[in-house]
Amino acid sequence: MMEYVHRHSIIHSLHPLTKLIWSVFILVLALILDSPWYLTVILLSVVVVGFLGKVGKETLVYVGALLSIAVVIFIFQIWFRPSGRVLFSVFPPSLPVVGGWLPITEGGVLYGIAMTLRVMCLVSPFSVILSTTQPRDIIMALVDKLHVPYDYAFLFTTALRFMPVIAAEVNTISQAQRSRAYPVEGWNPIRKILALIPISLPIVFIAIEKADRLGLCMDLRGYGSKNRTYLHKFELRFADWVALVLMVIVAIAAILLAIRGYGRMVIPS
Amino acid sequence: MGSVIEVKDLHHRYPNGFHALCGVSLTVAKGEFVAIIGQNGSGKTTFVKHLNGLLRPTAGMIWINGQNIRKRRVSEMARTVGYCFQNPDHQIFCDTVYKEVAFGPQNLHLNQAEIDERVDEALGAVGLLHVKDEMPKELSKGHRQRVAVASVLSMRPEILIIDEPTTGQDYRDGIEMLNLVQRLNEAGHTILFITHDMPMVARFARRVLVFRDGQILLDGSTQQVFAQPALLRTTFLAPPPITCLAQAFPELFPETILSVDKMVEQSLAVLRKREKVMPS
Repeated sequence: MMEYVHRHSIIHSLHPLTKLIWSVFILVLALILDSPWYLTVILLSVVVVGFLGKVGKETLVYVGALLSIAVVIFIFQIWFRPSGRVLFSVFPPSLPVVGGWLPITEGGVLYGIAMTLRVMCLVSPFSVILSTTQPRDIIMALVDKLHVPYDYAFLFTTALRFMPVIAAEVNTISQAQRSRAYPVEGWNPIRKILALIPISLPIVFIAIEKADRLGLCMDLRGYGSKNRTYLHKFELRFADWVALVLMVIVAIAAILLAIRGYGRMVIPS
Repeated sequence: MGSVIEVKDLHHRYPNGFHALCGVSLTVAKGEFVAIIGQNGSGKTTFVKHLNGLLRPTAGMIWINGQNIRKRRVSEMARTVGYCFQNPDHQIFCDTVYKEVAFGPQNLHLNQAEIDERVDEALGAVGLLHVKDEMPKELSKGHRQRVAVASVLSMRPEILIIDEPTTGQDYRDGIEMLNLVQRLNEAGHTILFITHDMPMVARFARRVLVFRDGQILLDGSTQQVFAQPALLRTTFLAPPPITCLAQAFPELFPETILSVDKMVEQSLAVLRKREKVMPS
């Protein structure tokens, strides 16, 4: 779901740094505004950017998946921040002893909705960024513009690159052990943990071997020699500047609004 | 002899949409020695992984010993169908060869005496009894491959599937591996092996399946299959050199020649016949 989708769109062609700044921009907006209405607008804007990037369907699927986590946050918020009028209690007041426990308040519900939307606002931009930007471009942009040392960047991209490789190996190993009558299926949790040994040991050996070979290949291709040059140059283009200026304007407007008291949550009492 | 494997109109489509098998049907009789050849990506491995349930058909049916395996688990199938993976390092995890080979029988919940007997039998068959207590990781690649075969043999499967038993091995290890497989075949196991090594096919297999684009292009005795070089060429395969040489002289060698010995024998026969016609 959080995988790069190769399509041609304006969002794909933006500088990775612009997109990272956008995620910070959304974060700032979501933190200074806390009315559910405003937060809904912010979340919708993220989805719109997803559609501009031709990954609208993927973004919606991801936001949908977030909803399941959001429900948990919502339930906790209702009870952790009760305020305002009591709508009803989970245990009706007429019951003996437990009557009136866990009251659901108007403020609690509003906080719940706001918190849920906020979390979704904070996380969803990453889905859009990761599906419109190659991980290696994100890294290279960090090296190029923010002067992150290349070794760290390489470490990070290699880790990303290794994940699907290791996943494929795990699959093969699991198939090989099942072919030796090894029951990987089943529900018993203790057995499941023990079951990991015949699969995890070969994968550790294979991973070490692969890392070793990768190190050799890097040496053979001159990794670590001085004065590295780069094939791809990332320059901020006109569209990037337009996006950045727009974001700055909206951010300033939002901050002014927040100072004047707009976008605050009003809890009826 | 009854058929041990029966496959009817098997289709498989991977989650990424790749249609790896498009209607494969065949039967394999007990005791056959079958080589499966074809280019990478032609569906060989996908096909054999269906025979013990590692992959499930998108459409089609498979019967092993007359039983539909649709609802059988891989771990149940292991008693009947042994599957040996190409790279032994995908399965070796124990610190002694004995434990590695005993792993399968233990999963079958056999008693200790039975397990010991089977481990000795399997290690004897692959000629590795002398390294029983050594670490499998420290053995040579050829020996590790044999440990992998032994660890499947110890479950006494009737059918043995081996994926590329000779790839990455030197000539001697390759020949030894296939000699071992041949002995197992003579002992009654039905063998299916995947390979890219045509001389090995000519030397060992009695039946050959040629896969192309998820379908069986050719299915017949080794001689029948290698007698069709034009068709084999469509999937970038060629009979072994000695067969090609014989095919260049069809009037001398009307039959398909699979070995140097056979060619020499036939050449001598032709020479003798000519000597009789024109005594010097």
